[in-house]
Amino acid sequence: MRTGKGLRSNTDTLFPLTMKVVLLCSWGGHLQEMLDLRGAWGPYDYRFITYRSERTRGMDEPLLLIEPPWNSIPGFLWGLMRAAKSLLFDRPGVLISTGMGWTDIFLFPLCRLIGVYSIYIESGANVDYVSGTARIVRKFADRFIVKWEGLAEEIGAEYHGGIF
Amino acid sequence: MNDAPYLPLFEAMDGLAPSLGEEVVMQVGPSGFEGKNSRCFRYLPEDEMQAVFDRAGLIVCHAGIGTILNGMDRNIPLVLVPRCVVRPGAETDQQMTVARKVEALGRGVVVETLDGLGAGIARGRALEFGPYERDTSLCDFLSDLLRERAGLV
Repeated sequence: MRTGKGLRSNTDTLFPLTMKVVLLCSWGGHLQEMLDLRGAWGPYDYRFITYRSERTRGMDEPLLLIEPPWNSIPGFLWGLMRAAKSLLFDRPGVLISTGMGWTDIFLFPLCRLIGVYSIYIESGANVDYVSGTARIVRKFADRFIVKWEGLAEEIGAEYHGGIF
Repeated sequence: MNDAPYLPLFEAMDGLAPSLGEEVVMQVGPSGFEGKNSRCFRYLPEDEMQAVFDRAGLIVCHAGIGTILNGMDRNIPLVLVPRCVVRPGAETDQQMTVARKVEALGRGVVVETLDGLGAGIARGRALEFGPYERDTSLCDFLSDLLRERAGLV
């Protein structure tokens, strides 16, 4: 179900569970890793916040598209404001991110500030060390999860299963 | 594969295409590469990209997680060319670790030099394996956590 510029709730199920869930992810592998978790977030009133790209533009999901910062900083800041506003007004029950770079860095502290429960899931591409974004986000996330057991042990993160 | 540094890989694949006996389709991102023997596109919308994966009999990739997951879910053999193969000295070698893991599962082969790409493709085509059963532990954990947060347990 396309939403265009606005946000609408997912109505694919007859009686969507009412908790709002926000899904943050960049495109490509980050998006795929989020989609792979649909079994967990799919039953809820979810919406994506992701970067505008050829891959995401036509997604048939409730979504808010943000201009990537490497395309336009003013465009990105405008999109970030819209995302922040939606968090402030909608107060989702949970925010989950599989990696969205600068957007994570701004929105996770906001979630901590306004009491939105946040979960960061580091990409399975990061085996030996986590990303710079993850190192910052970890200070604010309620749950910080990695997908390699050795990495989890080394840095004291949560591990609940890998990518394979 | 999206970045300009992958041009040598696009060129190598395009060069091999006539000998492969199958259509070669490549996502080339911002590089703008135009193949003589292959069909190239910069990017596709998600549903069209999934359709490309659906038709693939073999995937040659740089060990990006998204492509690996799409390939494994469809039981498509993977020929993995980690970033450090086309960009020696790449700051991260983590793709090689991921690629070796896929290889250890018997679902892909790792190519260590572009000269070995043809042989790697032949080895990839010869792979045989059963249906892929993904580890759903993380999804199950997340499902329980969300139910807890929703007050359903």
